[in-house]
Amino acid sequence: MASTLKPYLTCVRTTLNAALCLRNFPSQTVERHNKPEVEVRGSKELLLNPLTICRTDKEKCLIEPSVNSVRISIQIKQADELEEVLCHKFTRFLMQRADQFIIMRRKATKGYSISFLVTHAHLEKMWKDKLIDFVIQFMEDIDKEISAMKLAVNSRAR
Amino acid sequence: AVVGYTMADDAAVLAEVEARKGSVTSMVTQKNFVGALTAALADPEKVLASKSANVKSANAAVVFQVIEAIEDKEIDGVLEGLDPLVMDLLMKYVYKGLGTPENANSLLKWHAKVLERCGPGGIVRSMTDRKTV
Repeated sequence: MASTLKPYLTCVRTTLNAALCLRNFPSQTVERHNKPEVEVRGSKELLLNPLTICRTDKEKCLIEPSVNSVRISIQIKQADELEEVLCHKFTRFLMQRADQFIIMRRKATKGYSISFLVTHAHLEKMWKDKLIDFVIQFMEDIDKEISAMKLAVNSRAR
Repeated sequence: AVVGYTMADDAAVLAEVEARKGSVTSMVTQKNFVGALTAALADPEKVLASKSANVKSANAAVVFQVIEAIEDKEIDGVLEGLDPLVMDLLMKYVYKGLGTPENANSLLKWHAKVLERCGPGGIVRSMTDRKTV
């Protein structure tokens, strides 16, 4: 398992690097509005092909690009019921504080544990490389956090 | 580019894919991996133009058959002579394969190797091209 982590993360990183080429694109349906097209899903022409990168059947990453926004959804590895509960509670905690994370989505996409929504406005303010570093780091750390929490629960139970 | 492709053409394309599968399988057993991969990725227009999932998955199965047969250390050699357009098509197939959890290990290695040769443009083309694999 550990052997595939690095290639998996490199794959996600390079795909994100290519997907995060965003530009400002005001809404074509409502004047003076600017909406992330990947969320609105109005025009097919503005949406690009979504790419899924699976590491195992339990762990995968979905990247849905569009002209002005990208939605990144991550399914975290949950080996047993305890990890499922911990993951659910932890991601709920993070998603409630989504404003602090700026790019996080308050609700995860269906079938995934947690989602990010990156828009052109974010890329104008933040370095693209650092943003990708953040997402990759997040993916690494969340696995470690959940394992640590599981150990803590088990040791407390004893 | 194929003009005027309709659902009626799907049967003919499926037959083509079957024929391709036959020749590819024989090349794979002879360990002619370069030939097998080039044959599997040849004539993609009709498969790309088709809207039928059967046609696309049948062709994808042929390509993955070759990919699975090639060992990790041989990947570089196989990719050496490939045309850039074929490389782009291969990248699309790599992403299609990565969509399901089987062969994730080897496909991630293929992704890195193909990326070296086609660059981030290859990834952008798999995202933007309406004609999906």
